[in-house]
Amino acid sequence: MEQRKRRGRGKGRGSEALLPRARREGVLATDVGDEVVVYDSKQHRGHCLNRPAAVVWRHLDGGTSMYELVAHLRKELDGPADEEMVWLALKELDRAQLLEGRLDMPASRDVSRRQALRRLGVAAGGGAVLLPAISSIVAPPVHAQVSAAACPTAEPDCATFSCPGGCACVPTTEGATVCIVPSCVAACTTSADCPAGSVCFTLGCCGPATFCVPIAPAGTSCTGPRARWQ
Amino acid sequence: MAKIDRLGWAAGLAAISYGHRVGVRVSEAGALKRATACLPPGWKLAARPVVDCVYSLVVGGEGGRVRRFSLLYRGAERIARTHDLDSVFETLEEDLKLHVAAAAPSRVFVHAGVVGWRGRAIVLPGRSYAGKSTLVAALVRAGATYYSDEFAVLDGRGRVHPYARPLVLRARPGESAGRVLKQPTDLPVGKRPLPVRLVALTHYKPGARWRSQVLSPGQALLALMESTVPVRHRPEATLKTLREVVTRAPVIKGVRGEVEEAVERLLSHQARTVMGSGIFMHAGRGSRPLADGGEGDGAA
Repeated sequence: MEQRKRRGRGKGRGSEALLPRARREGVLATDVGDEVVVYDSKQHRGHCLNRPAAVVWRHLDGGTSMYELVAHLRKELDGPADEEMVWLALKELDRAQLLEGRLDMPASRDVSRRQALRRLGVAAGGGAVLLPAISSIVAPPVHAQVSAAACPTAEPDCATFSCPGGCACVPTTEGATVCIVPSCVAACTTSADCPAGSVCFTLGCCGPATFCVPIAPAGTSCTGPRARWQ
Repeated sequence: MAKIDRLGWAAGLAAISYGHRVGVRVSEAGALKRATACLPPGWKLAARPVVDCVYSLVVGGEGGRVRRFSLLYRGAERIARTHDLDSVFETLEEDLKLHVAAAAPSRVFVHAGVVGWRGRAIVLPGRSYAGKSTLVAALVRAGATYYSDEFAVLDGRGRVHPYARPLVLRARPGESAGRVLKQPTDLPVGKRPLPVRLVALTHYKPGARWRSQVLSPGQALLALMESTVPVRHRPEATLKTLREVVTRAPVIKGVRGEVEEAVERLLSHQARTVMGSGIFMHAGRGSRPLADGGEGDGAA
């Protein structure tokens, strides 16, 4: 049996082929109910694996075949599971960089979530099906958790803004005036769209759209003012 | 560091703040009182002068024809050099706050407002300008006990300890600085650690109605991690502590409009949770809106 199994990082195409190993080095994991939260201390990223993704991740020890993993999924989820579901989980784990090496996924196995859901839904007789899913965040650095510097001016513009330390004082989409580091991060509609430690501002210094900019902690020395930051 | 040590130091002290030993020394004795006011709330004098980190403040000023800079060092690293002494103290306060929050050995600091209500804590994590201080101030006006408008200080059992700095609201347009709303001495301030009964990740949206959904425990842990200070330095302790919180308390996420409605919703959530009515249901896939009490059906 062992001799028939092909070793490799997901390169085998048959159900007997061994699947890749989950990354364990530099990774901390904790079970939270049915889910697993994983912290990658190399990438400083946190991931939440839902139940099917967690089952797949737990069994990826480098010695498990597709056939065995599908059986594990069926048993532990007490519901329908097939190879597409495993490939979907592998794709998510690969995207989160939680596999050792890169996943070599056959094109024929690259099904969409919608396709997988349709197939498994039929198998479940229309019952509820849970597909593997992983949510991820970037762990913020310490300085991102500081309350921002106070803004001394109320009506700034791109050319005349000023704050202690040379950072910029700008209006946000929520109507506040905030001291920020003049650096265009990403387009946004409100500050809720922005990463932790940044706000969405309306001044148009980054172009025609509203943009996320990092909040300046008190005492920060940021770059000098420019009319355009791009 | 030896060069800094050789500078003349007029006064200093060793303090313990949340288990972390910090030293502060100044070149002019008169500056020590103001420097100690920059220490995080609840600090105590240490019995021994051995510290984990020392801050050294050289007070500048006029000296003959030379105008000397004020300098601030953390260990051997210079973190401020300016003629504006007020700005140096501001930097000292901010740096001390973050340093202690990152290095406190048995606590996990989450950027959040906290109030106590009927023996339990409501934790309001959020980024700057999410409206934490406004909400904390309104909850205190409604009868809650003030714990913090900056950090939720969590112990290994997932309980929240007070971090009662003055409650500050940000500057309104036309004002020059943040407004100190209340000093802790004027507020009902919590003294003992409280178990968490509700975590609410909300952000203010003008004109919006309250909308919230309960996060699954895993999603809740991930969301809290985004506001946690020492996650990169102490991920193991962070995971363990946050797990304690999310397995014992519901975590809701959503949008809030005006503060009065938010206060009513939060306090009623808290009351229902204490009664154990079981309305908080963790959905299998991440989260889902609450069906009870109108949450989840409000339109912005």
